[in-house]
Amino acid sequence: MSTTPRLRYEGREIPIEEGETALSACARAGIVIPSSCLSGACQSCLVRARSGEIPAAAQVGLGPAKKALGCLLACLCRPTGALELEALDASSEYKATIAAVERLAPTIVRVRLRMDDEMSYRPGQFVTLLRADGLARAYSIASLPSEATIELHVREVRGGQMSGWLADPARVGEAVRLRGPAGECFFTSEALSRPLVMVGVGTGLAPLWGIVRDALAQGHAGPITLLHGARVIEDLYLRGPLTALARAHPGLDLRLCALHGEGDAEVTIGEIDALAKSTVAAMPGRASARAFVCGDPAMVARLKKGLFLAGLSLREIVGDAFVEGPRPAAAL
Amino acid sequence: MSTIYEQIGGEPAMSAAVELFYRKVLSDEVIARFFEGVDMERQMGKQKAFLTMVTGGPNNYTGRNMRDAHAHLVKTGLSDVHFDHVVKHLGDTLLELGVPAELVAQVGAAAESMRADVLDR
Ligand SMILES: Cc1cc2nc3c(=O)[nH]c(=O)nc-3n(C[C@H](O)[C@H](O)[C@H](O)COP(=O)(O)OP(=O)(O)OC[C@H]3O[C@@H](n4cnc5c(N)ncnc54)[C@H](O)[C@@H]3O)c2cc1C
Ligand code: HEM
Repeated sequence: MSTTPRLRYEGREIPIEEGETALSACARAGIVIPSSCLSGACQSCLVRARSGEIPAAAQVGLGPAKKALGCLLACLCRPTGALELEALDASSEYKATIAAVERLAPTIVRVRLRMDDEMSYRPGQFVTLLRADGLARAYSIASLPSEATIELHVREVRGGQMSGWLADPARVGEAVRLRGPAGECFFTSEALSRPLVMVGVGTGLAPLWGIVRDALAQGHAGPITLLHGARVIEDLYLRGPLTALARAHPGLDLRLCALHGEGDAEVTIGEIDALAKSTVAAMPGRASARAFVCGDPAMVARLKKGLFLAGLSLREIVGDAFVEGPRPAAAL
Repeated sequence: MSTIYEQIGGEPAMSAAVELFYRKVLSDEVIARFFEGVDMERQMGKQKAFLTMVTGGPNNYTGRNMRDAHAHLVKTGLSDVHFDHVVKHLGDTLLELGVPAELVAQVGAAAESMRADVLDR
């Protein structure tokens, strides 16, 4: 039974209409909750319920620990009764300093963060990066916990508020805050001999660069196929390090692919989903394989479908779609 | 009397069947277009609802009725041909999983009984 929605945020009564999200109601009342993708993917708008009934849709994709704390996503939260929310307190955020900004390709930079607060994470998870003014965006972690800094790969989006800001070398020394880490996109060691398939589109390689090295460090023995696709060859921004890694690990099969440009011995010209599908269809043991798929949301959806049709179990296909804005209304 | 759903092996068998079934459906060029653009995970849940329904499993389907759920597809040309393909994939899936032929036939009959609703006649 649904009753009229009623919302309180940090003790303040917030007018809310039926079917409206908590994020939108707060915004109308002049309260800015950090947000980015407006579709539940980036977790920038995480808040906590003090009391009331949490709509199930507002907790989709949250881990058990966050659910138990009453955390929820304000952008998906359409209260059906009385609900009292509060901001996550500062103790759930980590302070960090931008330590280096390094250009890897014409539109891609590597950003290294030095953690001022300790944060434990699994390579491949993502964090919400908050600027001093509250602007929030999600970025995947490419580094290993054993490394001194957190490594992010950021594609400069035209007119992009956060990515444009981050890509400027003058940012070194700036303080930021991190929330998270979040997401299920990381290596787990329960089946060390199964095949792993990793497909990254653009900076979708970031989490995979963490995951592949994590898997090798944890003694993964099964074959690993890593595909990186980009629009143009110059955007295959880790070609050197990836090739070196593959040379050092015979079990690692590296496939590079670009939409445009002149192909060579290492780079196929074409669509990455076609390459992924044909590669996996010829792979022994694919029915037990686990796949990680990250990057552009439309391509991630196509890749998931392609890998599923090539014989992988949908349950074993994980990954993050780098949603940059509200998702177009999906078919119901 | 136990339902076909139970005889087949209940929930675990259904989970195995749904992937196999859905892969056949998406690989079939005659009907694949109806499933384009539908979110994979969500669609998977619906396939499970479909299989549970035609095997007489626990009726926790709370979605739209079959006529409403497929009306927009009928508008874009859903017809007997497509229905036949789906029913064939259903039967093939169950046979592949080792379900005895007489149970498969019963499931086929259950699906058949929904033809008029699905095709909005
Ligand atoms: C879970 C998750 C993980 C992510 N990980 C990474 C990562 O590791 N690396 C990374 O580079 N990004 C990642 N992203 C995307 C990132 O969070 C930002 O969305 C991105 O950096 C753009 O933010 P911005 O502030 O620069 O752009 P905004 O200021 O938000 O956008 C600027 C303008 O560009 C438009 N726009 C943005 N992207 C596109 C596009 N692709 N096509 C057309 N128009 C567009 C917007 O609609 C807007 O008009 C991730 C996203 C999610 C949800
Ligand atoms: C016995 C026959 C069938 C049964 C019992 C059945 C059952 C179902 C069920 C339970 C749903 C979920 C509805 C919802 O909750 O929204 C569904 C959706 C759907 N069905 Fe069927 N179905 C049958 C035949 C078919 C056929 C023949 C096709 C096409 C070839 C088809 C295509 C679809 C599609 C595309 C959807 C998703 C619609 C959407 O979300 O937009 N179905 N079906």
